[in-house]
Amino acid sequence: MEPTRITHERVEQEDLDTRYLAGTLSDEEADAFEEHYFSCDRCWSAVQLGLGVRGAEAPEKADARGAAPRVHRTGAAPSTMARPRRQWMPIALAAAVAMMAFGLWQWNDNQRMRPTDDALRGPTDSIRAVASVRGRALVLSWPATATADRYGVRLQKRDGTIIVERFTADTLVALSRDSLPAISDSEPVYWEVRALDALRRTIARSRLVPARMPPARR
Amino acid sequence: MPNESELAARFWDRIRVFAARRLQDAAIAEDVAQETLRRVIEAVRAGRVENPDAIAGFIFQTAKHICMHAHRSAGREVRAMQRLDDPDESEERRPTALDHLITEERRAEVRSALEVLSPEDRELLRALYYEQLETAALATRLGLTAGALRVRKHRALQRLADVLEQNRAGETLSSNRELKR
Repeated sequence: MEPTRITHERVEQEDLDTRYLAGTLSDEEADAFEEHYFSCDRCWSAVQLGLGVRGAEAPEKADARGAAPRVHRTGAAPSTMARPRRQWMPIALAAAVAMMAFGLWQWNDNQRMRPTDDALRGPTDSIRAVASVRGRALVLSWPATATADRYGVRLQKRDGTIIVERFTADTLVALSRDSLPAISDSEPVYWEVRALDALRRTIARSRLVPARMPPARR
Repeated sequence: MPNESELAARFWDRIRVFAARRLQDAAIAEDVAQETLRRVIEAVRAGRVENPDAIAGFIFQTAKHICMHAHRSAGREVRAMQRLDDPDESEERRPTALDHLITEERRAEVRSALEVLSPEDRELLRALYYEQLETAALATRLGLTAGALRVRKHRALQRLADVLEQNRAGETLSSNRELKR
């Protein structure tokens, strides 16, 4: 396949969206397809749907109860936690190396391009969020941060797996308990809210706040 | 030119997916998305992006540039370490950084939307996106031409998108009702 000049028709003809998600495109092909989906909403939608199907069909993750809650970073391989030590160690090491390398790069790059990592992350615990229940809704509310443009709110499991993520200009988020059927009544879940500026930088964040859950419908 | 909120809403997930595939780390991908949007919005404010049609390309190039620094230093180590992993598991489909970008909520909503589709659509989407079968192999298995398979895939995705849209509209109504109680 010629790697340059991707059109929507070509994506359909050569099944590039499916092959992209399967990881079977060459680096050049994947690069060209990514450049294309930045400007093609139809192809981006196909990628999102395909990714959603993949996630929906994947087996449920092992229950992570008992694991220490992860406070800051989320999204790094929680399911590998259940693997035997010899299997996840290389991945953990690789992730650590990658994060250190990225940190070094950030430090170097930030000599001329702010923000620093602190500015990206923002001060911890500076938002006092309150979890409550209203009817069958889980609710989190918090006081406004003066310079915030919007807020990023997450509901997550103890192992950092993100259950729900919302971006809002309000200072309250409510989720119907019925929209979380996969979460059992006894599973501990936590809210976190970050205040973001207009550039989506984190300028303040809350602690992990244990969510209050109305019981699931039987 | 789209305003800053529109830019963030439209490109946030694209940048995260793009960066997660390259860097194999969902958390770093989020940092890349933040930094990319910061640079892009500063460039827009400074009038360095004049053509609104060029904004997608500009964002892509900015994200690529940011990823490249991290990729050069970290990518080789990640790949090398992955090769050292247990070969017994190599045939099993393992979660990647892309999988970690999918929230539990998204999994649940797609799962319930899939249940509404016909078994044929569901099987087709599962084979393509979860089992990750090559289209040629899948076409042979289903006794279809490659062209017919493409049409079926396109229609199945469209039906899935429609169901997701309907369900989302219903859930918004139901959440509003809960709050009013």
